[in-house]
Amino acid sequence: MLLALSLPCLLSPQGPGVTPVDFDRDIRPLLAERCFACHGPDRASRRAGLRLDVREAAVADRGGRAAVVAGDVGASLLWQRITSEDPDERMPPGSAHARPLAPDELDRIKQWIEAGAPWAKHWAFSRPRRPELPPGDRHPIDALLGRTLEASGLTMSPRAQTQMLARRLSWDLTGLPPSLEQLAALGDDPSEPAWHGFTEQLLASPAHAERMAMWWLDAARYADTDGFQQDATRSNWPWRDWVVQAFAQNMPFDRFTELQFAGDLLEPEDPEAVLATCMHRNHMHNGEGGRDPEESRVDYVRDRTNTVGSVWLGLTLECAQCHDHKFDPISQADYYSLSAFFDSIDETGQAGGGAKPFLVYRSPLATETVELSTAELEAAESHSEELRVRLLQRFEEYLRRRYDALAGTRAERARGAGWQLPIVESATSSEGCALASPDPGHFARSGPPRKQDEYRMRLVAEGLECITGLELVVLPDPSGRFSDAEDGEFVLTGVKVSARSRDQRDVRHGRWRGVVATASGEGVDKEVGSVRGAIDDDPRKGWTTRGVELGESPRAVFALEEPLALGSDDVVEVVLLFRSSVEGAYARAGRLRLCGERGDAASRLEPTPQSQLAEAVAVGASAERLPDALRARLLEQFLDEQPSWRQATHRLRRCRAQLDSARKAAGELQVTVLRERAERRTTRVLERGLWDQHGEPVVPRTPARLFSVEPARANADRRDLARWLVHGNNPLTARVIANQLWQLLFGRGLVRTPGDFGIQGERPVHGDVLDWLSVELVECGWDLRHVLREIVASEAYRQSSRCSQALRERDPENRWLARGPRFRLPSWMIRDGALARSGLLDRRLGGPSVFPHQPEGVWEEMFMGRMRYQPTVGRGRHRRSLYAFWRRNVTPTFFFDSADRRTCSVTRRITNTPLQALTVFNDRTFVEAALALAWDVYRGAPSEGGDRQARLDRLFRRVLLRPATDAERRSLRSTYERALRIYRGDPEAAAAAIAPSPLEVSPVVAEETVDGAKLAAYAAVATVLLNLDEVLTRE
Amino acid sequence: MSDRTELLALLGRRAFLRRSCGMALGGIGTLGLERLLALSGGGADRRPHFAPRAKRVVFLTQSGGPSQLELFDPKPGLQDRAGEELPDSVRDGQRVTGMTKGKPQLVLPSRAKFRPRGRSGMELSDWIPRIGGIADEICLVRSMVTDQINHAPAMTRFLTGHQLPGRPSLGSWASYGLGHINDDLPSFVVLITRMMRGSDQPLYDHYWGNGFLPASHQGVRLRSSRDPVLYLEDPAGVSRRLRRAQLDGLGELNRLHLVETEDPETEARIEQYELAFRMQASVPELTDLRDEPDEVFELYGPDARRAGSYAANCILARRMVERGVRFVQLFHPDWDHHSRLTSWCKMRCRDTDQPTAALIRDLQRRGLLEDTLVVWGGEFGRSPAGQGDWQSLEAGRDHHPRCFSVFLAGAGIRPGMVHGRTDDYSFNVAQDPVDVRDLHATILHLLGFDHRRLSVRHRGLSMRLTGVEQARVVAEIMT
Repeated sequence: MLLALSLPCLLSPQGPGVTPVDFDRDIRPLLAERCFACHGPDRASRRAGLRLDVREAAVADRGGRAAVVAGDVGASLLWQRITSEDPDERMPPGSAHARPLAPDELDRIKQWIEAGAPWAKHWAFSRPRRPELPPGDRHPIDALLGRTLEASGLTMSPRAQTQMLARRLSWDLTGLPPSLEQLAALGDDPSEPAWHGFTEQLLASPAHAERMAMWWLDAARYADTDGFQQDATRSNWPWRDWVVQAFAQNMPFDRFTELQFAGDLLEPEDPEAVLATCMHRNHMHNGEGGRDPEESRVDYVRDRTNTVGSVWLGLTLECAQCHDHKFDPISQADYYSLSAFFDSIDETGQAGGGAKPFLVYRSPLATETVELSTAELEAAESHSEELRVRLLQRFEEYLRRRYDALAGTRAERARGAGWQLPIVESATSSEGCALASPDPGHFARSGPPRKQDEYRMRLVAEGLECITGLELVVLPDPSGRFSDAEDGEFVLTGVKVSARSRDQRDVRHGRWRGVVATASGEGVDKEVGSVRGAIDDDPRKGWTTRGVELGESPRAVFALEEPLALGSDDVVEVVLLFRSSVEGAYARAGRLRLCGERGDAASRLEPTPQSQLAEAVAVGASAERLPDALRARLLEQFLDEQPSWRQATHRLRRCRAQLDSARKAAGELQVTVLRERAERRTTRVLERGLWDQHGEPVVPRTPARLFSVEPARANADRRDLARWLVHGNNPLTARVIANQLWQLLFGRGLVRTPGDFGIQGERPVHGDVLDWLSVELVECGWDLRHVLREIVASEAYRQSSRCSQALRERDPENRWLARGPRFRLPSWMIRDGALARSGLLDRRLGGPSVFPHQPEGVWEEMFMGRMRYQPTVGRGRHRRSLYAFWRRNVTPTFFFDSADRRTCSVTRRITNTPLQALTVFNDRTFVEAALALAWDVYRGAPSEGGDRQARLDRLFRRVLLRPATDAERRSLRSTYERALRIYRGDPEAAAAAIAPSPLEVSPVVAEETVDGAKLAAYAAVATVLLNLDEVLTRE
Repeated sequence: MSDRTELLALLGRRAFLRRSCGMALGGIGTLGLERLLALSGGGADRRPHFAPRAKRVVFLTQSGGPSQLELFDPKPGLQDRAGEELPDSVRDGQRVTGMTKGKPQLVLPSRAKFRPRGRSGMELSDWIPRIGGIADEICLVRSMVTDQINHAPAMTRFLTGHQLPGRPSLGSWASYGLGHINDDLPSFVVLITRMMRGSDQPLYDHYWGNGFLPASHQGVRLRSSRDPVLYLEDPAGVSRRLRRAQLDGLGELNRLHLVETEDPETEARIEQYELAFRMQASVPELTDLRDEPDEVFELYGPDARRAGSYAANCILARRMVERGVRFVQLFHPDWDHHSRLTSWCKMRCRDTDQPTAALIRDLQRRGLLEDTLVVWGGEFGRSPAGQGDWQSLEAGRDHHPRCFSVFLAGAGIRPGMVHGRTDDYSFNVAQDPVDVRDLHATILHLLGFDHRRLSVRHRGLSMRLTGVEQARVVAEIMT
């Protein structure tokens, strides 16, 4: 009972108000949902020859009867069938899985028939007209919206408080929070011109163009890679910059459309115009082996067609790929006629380098990246040079210590110097053959010949704290044979090494950096030969010495990328794989040694630096008179032992690679664009949507039942398609785009199904507002900024988002807009906002994509090691999210609820999950932002308040952009004190919390007098602030 | 799906009861609440339609197309036809991939030997002896059919019902329909084998995507690295104590703001941050295998101690089943044996045979198999024609959609049974074809859902896992 009472108010989706029956609003949706599947526009699935989507058919005489008899419910077959008591008679039938008609729905149908069954065109298919405005001088949006609200007994909410409104406006127009200076200049009670000036300032900022570009990139399914199996990297980012540029110039949307559809036809000589057409090549490219390229090409043509549907027309055109559209007036032939505009592109259906046509393009925006990368490299070089000088001062002392140690006891000599023979604790063959270890480090196989084998040996290396490399010597039998193969040659196809605890619970696998051997031969199979084949994870490749005159037993040394640390009770497991297709090519005997020295010890065949030093000591050479070559090796080894040096070298390597790719980006790029082939393809309807089932031929033609431009041009091309889309009479495009602009500002469109304005789409509550905006958009010459300006100037936009419980219950989804919307910001704005507030944001425009921080291993896992994410070193990592490299198969991890950029996306998703909380708490970009904020308040000049409370106040203001209340100040203090206590008790944690990222140099470390605990505690508070609901939300 | 529905789905039971219904509804119990949540689903029928046989699913996805001819579908007759051209009457216009297009299609007999296993006498390959050892526990379907011949579309169809990306995965549907059991863990978890060498087919995240269902039903991938869930690990210098202090501060400030906004989203956010904090404890506890006895590692085989191995993932799957994860999906890559069929396929068998059998035995002895459904299978099968020189060790097999094998075990599945039959070549299904959508309908049925009724409105259409074409629940394989 209680349940029944509480449910409607809790969950009812119905808006307020009751009005007389309107066909388009009340009846067609019922018919569409329940009847159109069998009695709609799709000829193929039509039953009983009856259609209910057009009036003539519904009222047509069917042998003396009619489905709908205007004014006469009793005579209407439709009514008889939907109210029949007989389950076999009643419509919709059970097999349709449609909800049966509810009593109030039946009632509406009855009223409608009784009222003469008036028909009306679907609202979105008639050209929008400027609605008549109620008298008064209110802003037209307010006048229209207010009228609808009043009719329903609602009123607009009061204007939001100025500072909050300023934050809202800045988010909506630029995707960034306002600066404290902007807010101060505006004050609490700005004049209307001042407010207007603020709006103009935001609209004119480059950040506005970037914000608009992010909208368009989602719609355009822009990404930096092909997608699918290969997911090859492309260089289409100049198009992204073209979009930013277009928005920066406020290019009229009709021009924007025409260039993207047909820049190559309109202005073939202008590279920028051709570049614009990359829009329709942003789809995925499938390079999967064995796929028929024609199948892919057909997919691309359809992808473009569907994108036109979602982004410009607001129609689910893809529904007409396989059959006539079940609800909207788009036949399958219409679909393929539309697709014919894109069918004669000079493309092959291939991916990667085969994805012609390309525009060869040089981006002027890449030079800045080259300059910056050069500067980063120079900084890294001078840093490592300084470090080298500092470390050199300690080298002589180190050398003397080593020298003395080696001159001392034998035990000292053994520790860590040279290649060491391990004890072989166990050795097994995967084929079950006996594998003996007659001497330390040695193995010898006995047993019947097999096709292949694999040895697993467990080694104990006493005295080694880590291993840096492995040495293998393959030993011949007395007759000179290595293996059971016919020719006696061996083929080593793989070597693996791992360090593990004895209980096997802690297993660490080594990764090879490189390998060298005394000899390499040529296998029967040409893939076999070089010793590199033994570390490439490919069983087809391997090492052999076949065909080589050998003076000594073949020897190979394998160097590890990173040393494997060994605990006191750890063992080393080595696996030798002999998986060649040559039968019996496993080494029957050999010897393994391990090395624990750093530097080039395991990368060269000659004795290790420490062995050479030991030899020099043994022959009595003095420490001061060592050969230069040896001194040089020892120095490199010494440096390599210093963590700071390793980090600096790593950074240097990354900076060099970064400069290389920046230079490539500044060179000639291949951008995928549109270009017609010499001979047009004959486009055909594809039966059941199957790519190779060709039906009737069609010509390029726009769907005339929506609207047509007379006279249609023969041999129409993409120019005609673009003109049709932005023609003043097109009922859809202006509405669809105005709706998307509204969505940018309100979070949700006036039409809540922005990609579907068809019969199954949602009808807007404020359709007249949308029509007014659409007409305005067309009449002002498709000036997007004008429309944005109009919307943000309205009181509707400026309403407070505070909301009474009663209003929330009455209109939980805010369809009526009797209040300002409040919603979580898109994840890219959350990230950009944190960077902006902390002062880290790099505001450079355009250029090649950057690689912000993301957790390690994400690409490797997806591609099983084939690709590796290398984060950008230096300022570039803090650029706006718009510039983050977008790999289609692995969306950047720091985004959530983002478009997937596989197909076009015009709908925004806002969810609320624990994974998002983890991202904002723990992603390194946010950690760096918190630290930068903390550093700012920590070192703040005394004039800005040297005491704790002043610092916390400043921190709060910088993040929340408003002063803290007393309650908030108390809370901040208590969090700060708790954090400080924790860090005071744990100085190591404090040091870790304020340490820079491994590849970065932070200003913090330069200061030796920093109170780490305090700084870390401010950072902890900054993290709390960056995660506040108010910070994540546009209010 | 509306914001509000999303909100309700995410709030969790307690929060929802506390906030919206107060004390008055405190006593209505689970049934009433399920009803509330069902109603909030925009008309979607989300309560089980009948009593579920399976409460949980473990889906052992073998990616790349395991060869039915080497594993499950013995065709001794092919020995006599070795090297002969596949008859046109058998091929019947079946398309091949670009890799073998235009090349002769010569019969390559099975490289493996088969023998009857268990009391049921199910014929299985010697390459999977341990699975042979549980023949009496599984139901083998030899007559699976798909219509996709390339990996990505075929796997997408196998897991989401449609070849194009963007629809909810089977696991998302299960999570959506049945909801959470354990509030501290995601209801749909994905585990991918970390291979010792690189792999050719990437595993796209849309394979476990939520499509148009709320994001809380997305498969959460547990990684085999130190951070099993992205961003799970606190940054350097942040202890649990500090994080607790931060969360307290965050909650306090958020609640101060909530007084002003009265926005339920804010309260939901506080809950999500707390859940994140709990997950930071519950997930590492889940993935830390150190409390498993040695005997378990022995059961699952030599790889079991290597983090990220299929064997270790099978142990994790069992731990998740125990903790109430609704749908666990494992992926083992590299069953795509276009060449070197014998050595490569045997390697995959070695990776998976013992752990798969161990998982089923382990679930069984713990009494969990009764209401846990285990499924083993890949996106398609392989052709009886050889690729490359069929006589050499280099020979492999191309993709083949017209027949392949999967097996099922556990909840409601008839054990020790073989369903369906292929022709003499293992090229076409000769009896009882089971389309991918029939398999989906059957799995949903075992979970208590009529596949025709578990639907969601999206872009104006009623969307369901099995799509618009007819699908059939394979009643024969159920007890």
